[in-house]
Amino acid sequence: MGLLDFAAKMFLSYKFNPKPLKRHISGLKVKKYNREPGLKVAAAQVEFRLHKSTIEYFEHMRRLVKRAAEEGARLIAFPENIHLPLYGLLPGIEKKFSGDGRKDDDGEKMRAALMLLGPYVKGIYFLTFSSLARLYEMYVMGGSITVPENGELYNTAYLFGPDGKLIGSQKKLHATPEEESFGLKTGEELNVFKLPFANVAFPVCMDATYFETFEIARMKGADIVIIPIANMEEYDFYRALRGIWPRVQESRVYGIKSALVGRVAKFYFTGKAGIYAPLDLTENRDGVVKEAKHYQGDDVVTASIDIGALRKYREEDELLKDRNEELYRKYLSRLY
Amino acid sequence: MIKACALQLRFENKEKYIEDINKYLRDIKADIVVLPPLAGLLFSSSAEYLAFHLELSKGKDFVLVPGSFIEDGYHKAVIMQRGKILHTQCQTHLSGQDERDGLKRGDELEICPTAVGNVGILVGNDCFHPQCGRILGLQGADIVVGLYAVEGGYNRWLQLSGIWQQVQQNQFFAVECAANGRIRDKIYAGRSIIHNPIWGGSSGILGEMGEDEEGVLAAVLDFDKRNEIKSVYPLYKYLNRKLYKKEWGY
Repeated sequence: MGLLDFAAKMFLSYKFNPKPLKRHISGLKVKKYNREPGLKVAAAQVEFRLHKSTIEYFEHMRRLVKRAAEEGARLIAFPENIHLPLYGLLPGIEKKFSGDGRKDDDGEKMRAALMLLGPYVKGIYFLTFSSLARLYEMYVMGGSITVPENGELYNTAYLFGPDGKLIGSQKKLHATPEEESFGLKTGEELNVFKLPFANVAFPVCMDATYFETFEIARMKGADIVIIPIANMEEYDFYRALRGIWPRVQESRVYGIKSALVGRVAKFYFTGKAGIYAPLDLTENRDGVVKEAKHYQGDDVVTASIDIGALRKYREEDELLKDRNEELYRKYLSRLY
Repeated sequence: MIKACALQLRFENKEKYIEDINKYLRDIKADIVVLPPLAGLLFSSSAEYLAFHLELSKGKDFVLVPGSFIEDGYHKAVIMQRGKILHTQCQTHLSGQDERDGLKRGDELEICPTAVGNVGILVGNDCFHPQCGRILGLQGADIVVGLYAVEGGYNRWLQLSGIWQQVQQNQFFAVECAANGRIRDKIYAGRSIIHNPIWGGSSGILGEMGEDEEGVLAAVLDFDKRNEIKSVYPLYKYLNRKLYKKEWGY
C-alpha cells in the first residue's frame, strides 16, 4: 500500500467511523406500532441530498421508515444506489460532481473510487438499515449499493428482518452501459425470500427492463417483486412506464418501485415510487395500486395488498396457463 | 425512412369492408400497410379472403398485412407484396376464448425479409406474451405487425401492456392494427397505434387512433433514430444468458 492509499484509508476510516452513529442509535427505543390485519407495504422515494454526517443520513432514512410504520406498513423498500447521499461526507464532493465530468467518466477511475469507498459505505449502510428494521420492527429492503465483494464490483440490494438481522441479498442481474464502463459484475442468481406474509424478490433497476427477470421470479414463487431504481433522466410518463409496470402485467405479481430522485450537480434522478398490481386487481384497471404524486422530493407510498387474492387470481388466470414451452425452447435455445 | 400505415375500420359486413378498403387504399402512399385483424371472418372462406387481398396487392408496391383469418383451426396472418404471399404466421398463444373456439396453437415464429426490413407478426393474444417479441427481436425484426383483437370494452392499459412493452424491451418498431366492431356476435375494441422504441423527445408512440374512429393512421419509421438508440443502449448485449440457461435450460 502506497503512502497516499494509506492516508486515504485513514481519512475514510475517520469520516465513516460508525461510532457516532452507533451512539446515536443506542439512544433510540424500539417503537411499537399498531398494524392492522392484512398486509400494507411501502415504497420510499428518496431525495438525493449530500449528507454531511452519518447521523444526518440515518435521520433522513429514519423519517421515511417512521412514516411508513405510522401508516401501518410491514415492509418498506428503498431505492437503488442509496449510498450516494453518503458521498456528502467527502469534502469537495459537490465540486467534483459539478465538474465537466470528462475525467469522472473514466471507467477505471470510477471503479477505483467505488472500490476504495465501498467498504466504508457498506458499513454505514448496514448499520443504518438493520437498525431501522429493528427499531421499527419492519422488513426493510434497504435499496442497493455499488460496492466490492471478493475483488469485484456489484450493485447489491439487502433485505433486513424486524430483528435487524440480514435476511438476504440480491445482486443486479443486468448492467447498464455506464456500469459496464466501470466493470460492474452482474449476479447469476435470482433469489426469492419467503417472508411470513409473502414471497419476495428484489432485483435491481435495469433488471426490470427484461421480462426474463420477473418470469423467473414468479416461477420461483415470488408474490412481490421490488425494484429499487435510480434513473438519471428527465421525467416522462412513458419512459417511467417502462420497467416494473409492464413486468407486473406480464408476470402477475405485485410490484413495489422505490426511487432515488433529485438533482445534485450533474446528477439528476427522477421517478415516482409506487405499488403496482395486475390490471384486474386494481380499482381503475390501470395496474396502479398507488403512486407518488410527484417525481421529485421525499415521499412514502403505502398501500394494502392482498396476497391471497393474487394467488387465487393466478390460479384462474388465462395468461399464465397459456404458455408455449415448445416454442420457447425451440427458438430461445438458439437465440439467447 | 419507411412510411407505415394502419387502416382502422368498424366491422359490419363484407360489403362495407370492401367499400372501405377501396376508399382508403385507392391512393394511399405507404411502404407497409396493415389491415384490421379478423377481416377474414367477413368472407365466406379463407380462400376468398386471400384471393381478394392478393388481387388488391397486385397493383401496389407496398408490403401488405391484410389482417388475419382462421384456417385449418389456426388463427393466421400473412405478409404479401405484389400479389404474392411472402410469409404466413399462426397465433402461438391462445386465450381461454380461443381454446373454447377450438383454435390450435402455432409452433413457429419467424421473421420475413421484405423491402421495408425484417417483418414479424404477433397475432391476437401473442402481444401479451413477451417471449414472442423476444423471439422476433433476437431474429432481427425491424418492424413487428401487431394484430390486436380483444373482445369487450376498451382498456388502454391492457393494450399498452401488450405490444408497446415488447417494443420497449426489443427496440423494434411496431405497427399495431386493432379489430373494432362486431364480428360473428363478438364485439371488439382497440386502438391502432404505431410504436417506436423510446428515444429523445418521443413517448414510444408515433401515432394513435381512437377506438371509435375509422381511417388511415400513418407514421414515418425513422430507422436512423432506432439504430442510434440500439447502439447507445444495446439491450440485448446485457441479457443474462447464464441465468436464463440455469433456470430454463435454454
